[in-house]
Amino acid sequence: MNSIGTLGGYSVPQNSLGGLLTVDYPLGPSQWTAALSWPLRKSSRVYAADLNRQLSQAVAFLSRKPMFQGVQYTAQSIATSTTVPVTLDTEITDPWTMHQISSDTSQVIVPQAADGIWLVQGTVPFAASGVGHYYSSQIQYTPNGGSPTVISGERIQSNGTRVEPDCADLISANAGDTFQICGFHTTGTSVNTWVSTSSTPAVAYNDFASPLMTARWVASSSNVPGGVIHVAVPAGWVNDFTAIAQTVNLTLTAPNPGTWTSLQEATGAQFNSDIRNSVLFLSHVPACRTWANGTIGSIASGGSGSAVTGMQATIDNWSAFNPATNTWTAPISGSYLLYGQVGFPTQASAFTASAYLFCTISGSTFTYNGANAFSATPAGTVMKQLRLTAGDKVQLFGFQNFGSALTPSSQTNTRFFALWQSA
Amino acid sequence: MPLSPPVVKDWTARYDPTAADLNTYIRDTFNFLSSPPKLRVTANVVQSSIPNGVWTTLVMGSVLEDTYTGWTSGTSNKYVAQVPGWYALSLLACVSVPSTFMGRVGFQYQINGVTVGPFEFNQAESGAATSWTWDAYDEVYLGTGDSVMPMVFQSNTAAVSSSLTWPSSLEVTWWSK
Repeated sequence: MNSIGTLGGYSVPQNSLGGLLTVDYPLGPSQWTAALSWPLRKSSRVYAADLNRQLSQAVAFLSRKPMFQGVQYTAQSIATSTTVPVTLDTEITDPWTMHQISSDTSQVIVPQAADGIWLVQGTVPFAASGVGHYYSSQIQYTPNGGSPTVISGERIQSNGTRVEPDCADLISANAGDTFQICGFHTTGTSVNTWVSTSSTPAVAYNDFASPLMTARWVASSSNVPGGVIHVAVPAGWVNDFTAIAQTVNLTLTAPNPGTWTSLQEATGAQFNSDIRNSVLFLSHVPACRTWANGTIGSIASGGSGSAVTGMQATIDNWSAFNPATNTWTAPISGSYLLYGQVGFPTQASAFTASAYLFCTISGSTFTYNGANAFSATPAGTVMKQLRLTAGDKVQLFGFQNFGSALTPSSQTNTRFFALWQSA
Repeated sequence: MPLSPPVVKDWTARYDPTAADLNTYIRDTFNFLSSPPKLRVTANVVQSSIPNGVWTTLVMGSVLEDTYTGWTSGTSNKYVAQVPGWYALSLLACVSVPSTFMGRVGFQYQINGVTVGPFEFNQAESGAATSWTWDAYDEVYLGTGDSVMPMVFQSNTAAVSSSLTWPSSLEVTWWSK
């Protein structure tokens, strides 16, 4: 590798971005050049523009990933048996201008240059209403110019006071696509959402809750099977700025940058290891989302639950899911955000359902439960942050106590996702 | 000294980066982004008295990891943010279910003593199980020194105990600036 000569003089090209970074760049991965390999110039010089594009711009994005969070402070009537988008009249944060107060306030629109995998989650509390029916929150995802897809969330029953179901999913989305958090119930009459206000957080009720939705960019939608990504490495030069590149495979690992010392020569190898590879990993972290869309086996009543079969991946950027065993294997060590949901079709009477995360960690098995769901049409959910070592395995288990075997509901009613959070 | 969320540098022409620059803007930046503050705590003893109708601190006695030393155990039982940013919070509560009907149960956070949601309410199944669980996930912005306290609420006619069938737990991870 040629020496980059960091300590040498700089020659700034016409398109220098120097001076523009007084605030974070509002540009996503599609605007980066971070996949390029150092040296970026035939001269091996490091330009301010290159550091800004490859380092500062990427760090600006990765440390402040696009996100939106909004809340509803004015109650809304939710019609029965209807997926009703919830209006979000107040923005808690919207630095990427994904939401408009002046127009349809239920819509959160994926901004330009932020294509990728999004974590969308929210909750819809309902006011006091009839018992014996189920309440759910849902996510409605609508591709730009396409038809909406409704993602069903937790389904639980009220005891006549309040009920607050939640919903979460990983969604691969492009600029212009929209997310909405929705309310759904089967009471037979309209039910209002339950809201508090920012100035009077319902102290009299000893609680504070309102419909809330958060959407967060979490990873590029590009697949990197096994963590292998293609990078272009200079093999020759057309001119000072244009390289003849050769594509090589790079296996991504969690960042492990070295310490620089005075008078140390900055090499392309270290810039590639510390900058390029770090940015590529952090923008392509393992993400997997599966749903029950194959041949789904039944789950016996009672006991300790059993694996949900027929799971198929809709997102699996590191190729970590095995549909033959319905098992997701952690492709790299770290802390993961894990979500599971198991729903069951309507039965004659209410029963309890749960989603379990059945984990094999360092050879030992552990089961993690989430929120039990009690309803005639229940859907239990579990959401947990768990530390895993590469090779550890997770399966989605379902539990129900209806009294006889039941087959879980299909597609969005029964699903799982895993997302790398940190080393 | 714990690392801080990255500060973006505007590199300008003819500026000679020092080793300190590269350690700050490359090494420390990527170390923080790949290993941000993380907490995982769980309950390890039965909490015997969770009264009816009162939000009650959910005691977590076992610290699984606390990478930025933000957890205060004992009666405080809270996480104090060491750096500002958006955090992912996930919480599980598990209580013993009495044979009588049990009404709403839920849990919430307190941030610097101010109660905030969201939290989970649903109807427990009466007497059919020995324990009942609720969980919630939220993303909240915490300034340095802001605290998060896991809490539980139940509206049974009498106090209930927590259960170790599914040990209650709290997890916190820094997400972004």
